[in-house]
Amino acid sequence: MIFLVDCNNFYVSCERLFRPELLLSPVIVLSNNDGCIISRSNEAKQLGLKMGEPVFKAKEIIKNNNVHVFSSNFELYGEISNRIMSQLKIFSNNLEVYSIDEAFLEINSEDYKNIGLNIVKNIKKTTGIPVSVGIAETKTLSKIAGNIAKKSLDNCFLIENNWMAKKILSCTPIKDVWGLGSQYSKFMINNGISTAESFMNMDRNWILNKLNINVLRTRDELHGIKCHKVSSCSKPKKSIRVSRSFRNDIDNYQHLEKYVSDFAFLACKKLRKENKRVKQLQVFILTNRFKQSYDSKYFGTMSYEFFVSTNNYIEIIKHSLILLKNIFKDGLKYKKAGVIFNQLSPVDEYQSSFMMNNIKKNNDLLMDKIDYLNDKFGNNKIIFSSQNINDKSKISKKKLSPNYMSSWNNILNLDI
Amino acid sequence: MYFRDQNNFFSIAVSAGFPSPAGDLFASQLNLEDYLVKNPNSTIYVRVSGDSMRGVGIFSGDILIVDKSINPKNTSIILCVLDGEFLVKKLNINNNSTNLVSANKKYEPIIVTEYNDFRILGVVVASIKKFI
Repeated sequence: MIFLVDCNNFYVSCERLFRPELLLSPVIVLSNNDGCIISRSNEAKQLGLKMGEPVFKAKEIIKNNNVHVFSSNFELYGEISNRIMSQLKIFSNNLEVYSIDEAFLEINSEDYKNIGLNIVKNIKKTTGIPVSVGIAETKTLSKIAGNIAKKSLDNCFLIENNWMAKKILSCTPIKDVWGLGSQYSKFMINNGISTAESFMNMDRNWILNKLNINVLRTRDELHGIKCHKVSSCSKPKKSIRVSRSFRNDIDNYQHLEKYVSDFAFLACKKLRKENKRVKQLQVFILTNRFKQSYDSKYFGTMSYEFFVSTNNYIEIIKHSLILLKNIFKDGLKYKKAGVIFNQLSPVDEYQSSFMMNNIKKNNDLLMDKIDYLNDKFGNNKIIFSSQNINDKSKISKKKLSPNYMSSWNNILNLDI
Repeated sequence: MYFRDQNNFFSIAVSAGFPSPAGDLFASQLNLEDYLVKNPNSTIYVRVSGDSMRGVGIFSGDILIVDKSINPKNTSIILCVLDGEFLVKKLNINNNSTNLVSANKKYEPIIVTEYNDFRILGVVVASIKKFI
């Protein structure tokens, strides 16, 4: 059977670990730059705060109900997530970390419900984080079981057999089926298919003709036929993305150039940490969709393919700025920008060009020295002149909690 | 030894003397974490202040190692939450009543009632005191 373990309101639960007085209060966590709501406690959900809602739109509710607001502390959440995933391994070695707060486990045994209840109990006790467990024959069904588990008292739900699955799917809206996406759900609703059960009964050939093989797999999974395996080896990252919303809109090209240099630098640092090279580089800029009139809405993006995959700071920053120059339009106010690396490959496995060997070697040495110095003397001691990184005003994290788990100076202080 | 190679970058030369006779003996090093932390996934550290637990050797500024996976016994030193507040106390259960006892006569035991929100978070495994 496949177990989906999903942390309840994960970021909020992490913050509450160190602030027990907030147990029954409404709490929310904001995205990078304190822009949008990305995690809500049940109390905050009841107040009508929406997932992804920009925080300025919710100002009134937050103020009137004394909602506790946190900036996102991803270092902390990452550490707690690692602990949960590592603790889950005592239940099964066949574990797939699906996201920071979700994992699939494959367990073959008896008395699945009891194992599920044990997982809920064990993770709560050892890490302090509440989780829900959905158990079913396939990944897609376990996702649906997980949704029910979230709303049930014991946080665990088992879909025992196909008959039971059918009953549940008859009242599951098509948009709640994992892996379909909003485009396909809309297409199906337009074709008169509104529940998971009616999707399940669709003709296989019709799906293949009108849609694609992945949709067919999802349909089969609802029938209890395993199409997606639990893969314990973590999938290599396919892309790296660094993007931010700016606190104040930017209309000045020189300013934007600095930010994009920073993003390219940070993305490149991540790339080098993972021992990868990048083939395709993409830069995008975006105007403020909440503030501006219709005709000044603009989303500019462009990509560049390197002749030979690279992990060179200079090369990557240079080309990011060339792309930016091409997509920049004067007279607009930009809210967000970002750099994305696609087509990553391991350092030692890239298509090389014989002419470049000598130059490359020297550059690699220089790049290694940059990483070495930054690691040794603190981040961002060596940066490129086009960068902006020391300008602290750029990322707004006003309500950031301390890094309780990664620095001795920040561990919890208790008056006993 | 460092020298400049033809491209003006620094390289490191490897020394080629007589190999160390202990070179292939791998004695494992003593590691404090091995000694103090049995379950890394469930272990947290907290720094404490106050004198309520000095009787068991916990003083202001000490760092406590707390393991959440250990089941507390009677007289265990525990980290708990009482009505939204962290406490470190000795657990004392008798005749169906739960008491939180300080290790200092100055403080009265706290009796936990059904009207309290009381949760045990873990058992204090060790206390670290640094002298310098």
